[in-house]
Amino acid sequence: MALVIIPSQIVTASLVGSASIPVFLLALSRQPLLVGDLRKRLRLCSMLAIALWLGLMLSGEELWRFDAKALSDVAAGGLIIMSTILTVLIVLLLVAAGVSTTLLVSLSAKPGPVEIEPWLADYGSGFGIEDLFRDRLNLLLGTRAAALRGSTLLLARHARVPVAVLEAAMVYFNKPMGR
Amino acid sequence: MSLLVGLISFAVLAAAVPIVVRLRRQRNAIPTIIALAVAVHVITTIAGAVWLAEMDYWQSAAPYWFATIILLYAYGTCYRSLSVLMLVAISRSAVQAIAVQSLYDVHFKPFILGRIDALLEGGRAELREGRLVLTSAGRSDAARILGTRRIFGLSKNRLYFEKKSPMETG
Repeated sequence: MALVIIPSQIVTASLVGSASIPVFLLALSRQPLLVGDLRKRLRLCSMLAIALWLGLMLSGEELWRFDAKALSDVAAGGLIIMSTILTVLIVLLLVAAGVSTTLLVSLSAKPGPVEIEPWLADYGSGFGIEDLFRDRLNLLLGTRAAALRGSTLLLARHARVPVAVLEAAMVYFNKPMGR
Repeated sequence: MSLLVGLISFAVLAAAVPIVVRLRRQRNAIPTIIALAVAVHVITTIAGAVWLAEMDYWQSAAPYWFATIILLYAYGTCYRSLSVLMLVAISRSAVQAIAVQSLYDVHFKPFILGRIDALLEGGRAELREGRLVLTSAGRSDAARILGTRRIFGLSKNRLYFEKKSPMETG
């Protein structure tokens, strides 16, 4: 039994690159380096982290051996950094845009108990559940996943396959719709 | 070979997930899936180390966790994405079409009320005489979320579009 736990130079470089993602994100979230658009900020942050990884990797000796071990380490390093980028993306989207998190934050701003219906009508200090519905409706129409005919919403023909995949995933996860 | 161990580990996890989520029957199975992923990782890493003459931990762990994160993302999409749930609702209706008002009344609003139920079940909120109020656990979670939003400059609300109705704008 032999388990090699000590990371190679290439993998260490990817771990350093991964650790740099929150640091870059923090730097780009504040003046003077502030990038206002969240998507651009995430994209730039990911590119900087990947550049750091590549820089560290190229400056080391291991890569230049070009043997199977080095190539496997490059693949592993790439997956490590991609995993971190995905994790940061998921957490950030959840904190920034999650419906449950927004409901929680909205409720925390209320001094006392609230009636559910009036609160939902304006839970986002300027927008409510109907605005959210219209927003997601616009998203479906904007991505052409659905089309509007009068007051009826139709599933676009080319969205049928992605929707079938989603339905299969719901069966796999035992997630009946909305439960 | 270590990469292969990682891929086999993920295949084991992918086979175990549908069984475990059916046994546990939770509204949000993400903590369960993460716990299962850690357990599968530990067991398959030990098995791989015994099986192979030399196993590189990082080469095995990297594909495993990458695929696991995608699996969690897929679960989150099925569980939480309002747009996805709306799309599936349209797809399941007769002739794959639904009146906008019906989509709102029958599907969308219950999705949101389901989120409130999740807050209640999770002990983040409670009902007092039919009115909703945060518990202390909910308050501390909200403070953590607000703190993170402040640190990373995420305080603006996240509507994708202006507040306009597609029915009015065509």
